[in-house]
Amino acid sequence: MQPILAIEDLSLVYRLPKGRRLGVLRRVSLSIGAGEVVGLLGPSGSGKTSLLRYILGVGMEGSESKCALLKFEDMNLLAMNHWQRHRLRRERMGIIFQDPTHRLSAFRRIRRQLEDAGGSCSSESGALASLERVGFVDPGRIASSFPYELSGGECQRIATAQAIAANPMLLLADEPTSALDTVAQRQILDLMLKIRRERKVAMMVISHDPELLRALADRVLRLHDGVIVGHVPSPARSRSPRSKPGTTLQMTGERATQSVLDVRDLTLTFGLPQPETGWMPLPDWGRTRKFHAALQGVNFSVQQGSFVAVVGRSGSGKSTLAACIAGIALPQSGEMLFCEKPLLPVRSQEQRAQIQLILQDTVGALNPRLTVAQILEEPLRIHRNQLPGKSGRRYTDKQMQARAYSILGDVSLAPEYLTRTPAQLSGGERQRVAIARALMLQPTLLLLDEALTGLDHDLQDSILELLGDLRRHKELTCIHFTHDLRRMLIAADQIAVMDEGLIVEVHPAWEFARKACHPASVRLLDAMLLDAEEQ
Amino acid sequence: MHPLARRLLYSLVSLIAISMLCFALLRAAPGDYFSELRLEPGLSQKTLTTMEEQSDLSKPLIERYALWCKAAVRGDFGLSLTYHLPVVQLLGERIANTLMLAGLGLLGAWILGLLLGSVTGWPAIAARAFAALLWSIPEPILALLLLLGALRFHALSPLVEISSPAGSSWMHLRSLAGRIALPALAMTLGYLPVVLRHVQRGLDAARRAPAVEAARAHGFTRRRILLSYLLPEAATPLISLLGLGIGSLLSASLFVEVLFGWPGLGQLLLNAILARDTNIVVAGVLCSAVMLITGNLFADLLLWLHDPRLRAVAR
Repeated sequence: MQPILAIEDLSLVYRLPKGRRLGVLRRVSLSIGAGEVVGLLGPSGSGKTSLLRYILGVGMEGSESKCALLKFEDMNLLAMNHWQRHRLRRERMGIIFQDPTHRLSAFRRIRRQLEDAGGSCSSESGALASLERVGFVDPGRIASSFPYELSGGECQRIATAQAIAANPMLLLADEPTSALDTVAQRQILDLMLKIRRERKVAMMVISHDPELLRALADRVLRLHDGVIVGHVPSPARSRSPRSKPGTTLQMTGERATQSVLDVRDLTLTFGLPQPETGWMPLPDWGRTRKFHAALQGVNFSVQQGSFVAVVGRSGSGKSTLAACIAGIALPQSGEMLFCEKPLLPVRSQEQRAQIQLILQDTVGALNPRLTVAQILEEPLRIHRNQLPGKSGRRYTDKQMQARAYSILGDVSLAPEYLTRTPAQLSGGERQRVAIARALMLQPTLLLLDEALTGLDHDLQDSILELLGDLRRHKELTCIHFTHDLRRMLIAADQIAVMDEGLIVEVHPAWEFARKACHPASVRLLDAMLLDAEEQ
Repeated sequence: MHPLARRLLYSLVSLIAISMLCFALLRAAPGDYFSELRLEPGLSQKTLTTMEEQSDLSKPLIERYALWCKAAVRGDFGLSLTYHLPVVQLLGERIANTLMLAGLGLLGAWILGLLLGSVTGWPAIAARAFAALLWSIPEPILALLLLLGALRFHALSPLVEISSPAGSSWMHLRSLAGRIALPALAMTLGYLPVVLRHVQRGLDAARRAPAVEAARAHGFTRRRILLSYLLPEAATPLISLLGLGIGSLLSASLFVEVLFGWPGLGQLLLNAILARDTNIVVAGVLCSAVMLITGNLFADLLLWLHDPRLRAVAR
């Protein structure tokens, strides 16, 4: 088979400050045939994304590369100039990124951004059709939206539509489904299979998810520390010896149950005046006002030391609920009690420290100008070197550094990471730093908004295990807002299903599959089982 | 209430507060317009008393303020004590001159700043060094250097002729251009470093923004990336800076006006303060305040139009 992409002997080095250099790829050779789908598997930080960027020729500032051959469709890319490469990307290559919300411009309507991609999207009707193709039932609304009005899953589907607009010969995808709910994941997967079938497009797909690669890829390359360590013809999920989270995490029954969080009748409608500003709505000069009821009277309570998973498809209000509990968003009505003290209308400094939120989007969550050490110490500094509500002990700078050091160990990162900046970390490493930062203040309640999405499976398990330990020793309570029902069936104590801004049912995790009856729960279970059947 | 309407209301309230403060502070300052006249040997006590009675200064402060307000809403800001001319007429000419000078200066700084700020590679480093050098020279010294340079190398006389030359409007324009060139250049050079550095930093950050990188990765057209992705990403801090610039149009050129003898607001205001010519001071301060508020309002409006997220918060 004539290869559509061939790389020989590629080495890539990043220049770090103070003359240090970080080797990312070492003597990588690979080729992809026309219409072939190659999966790329490997732990975070192994150089997968860098390889993708190199093929694309984007974002390589501050790096040095050495390559014997880079050929794409009989064209020697090494001999091409900047603008020839640019044109090639426009006409022959497509790319889907990992962090969808940031990859769309905040200032431009979706329809315009699709039209920019050219190809089949270049007309308005083409753009709408492309939205339908990636699984939107109401393309008109999506097309006239701005990215901030859409969920992460919706943005990723739009990015996919952009990538395939010009009918590319090679489609590169960097974790294309990690931000999507199970239903949308299937849609994208089916879509990619369809594209592959109909258009004979070659693909290179990076994923942590062996099931995705199993369904999609002809063969899978495994990348480890910048070296391709093996071709896996049929990807089998690594069965490395690891603990069974199910046994370590389920232990709330023995504990005296005290309610940590009580949420009653919480409602939030976007487009209505915010309670604290009291602004009156005025006419919008010819534009229809959009109301979006994100929360429509949410009721639930969380016991101390438990692990509750709130699952639901994207757009069901999970993130809004997390934002309300964390104090980022203010609900219009309802009540929230935290350890029997009200969180509304204003929460105390101590309550703020006790509730920590970890977000899905790690790029936005970490200040790019600080080192990891500074990032970890920042929460303590904000609280004047003191853990609020705890012993009243003040931390010296030394002790603070020691604490950052030990917490970093807890999330299995090496101490040398303390001097790096977020830009020098991979997506998985950034999320580990974000989790470590939340743990610095010894919170009572930890909110995870899709926080494990995008990490590889072993790491997800090890983080869940870590949270289990913390819950046992430090009376930590976790609420995980996620679409990953399968993992939560094993890891969580209780599963609450969210749909259309309501918590529709709550069951203990071990009998969820048996007891769940709401259509939303059934849909999630079906999507999960469909995945399992293919294995 | 719509945030914009609310902002307008706040602006009005601050204007009223500023005018009150102005009156109060002028009253609190030692002496008034007649203090110095009293030392004049040529003026008799009788003349002075008549003059004082004719002016409002003998009345109580509250009454004076009420009278002033009543006239001010009709657009009448009183008479100047020194020039015996309506304040509106006096300020009008001067404000036009100042706006012309400062506007030209800032416009130049923005055009140069955008051009120099958007280059990359070693020219960018050179531009940064140039900005640092300019920034480190105090504005009066910069103006003096320009003045010296012009006198040394040029036939052009930088000193302003008081009377405007007779002749066709073309001649008039040419002579005006000749007179305004140097002070405007001084203002441009004084403000350029600020704009230049902001443009450089804004574009630097925007080039690394994920959305811009994605636009490059998708291979959108060059023009599209520049106009619809890079510039919007970089625009937010620049819009705020533009608002500040517009807000300071009336006050930024004070040094330059005095040094080049430009008949602008700065000099008039300075003399009025020294002579305690109340009406001119109050009106001048109010004009500056209006300008500042307008500039900020303008920037907020632009930001509101620019960023859909802000519109969402406002709704």
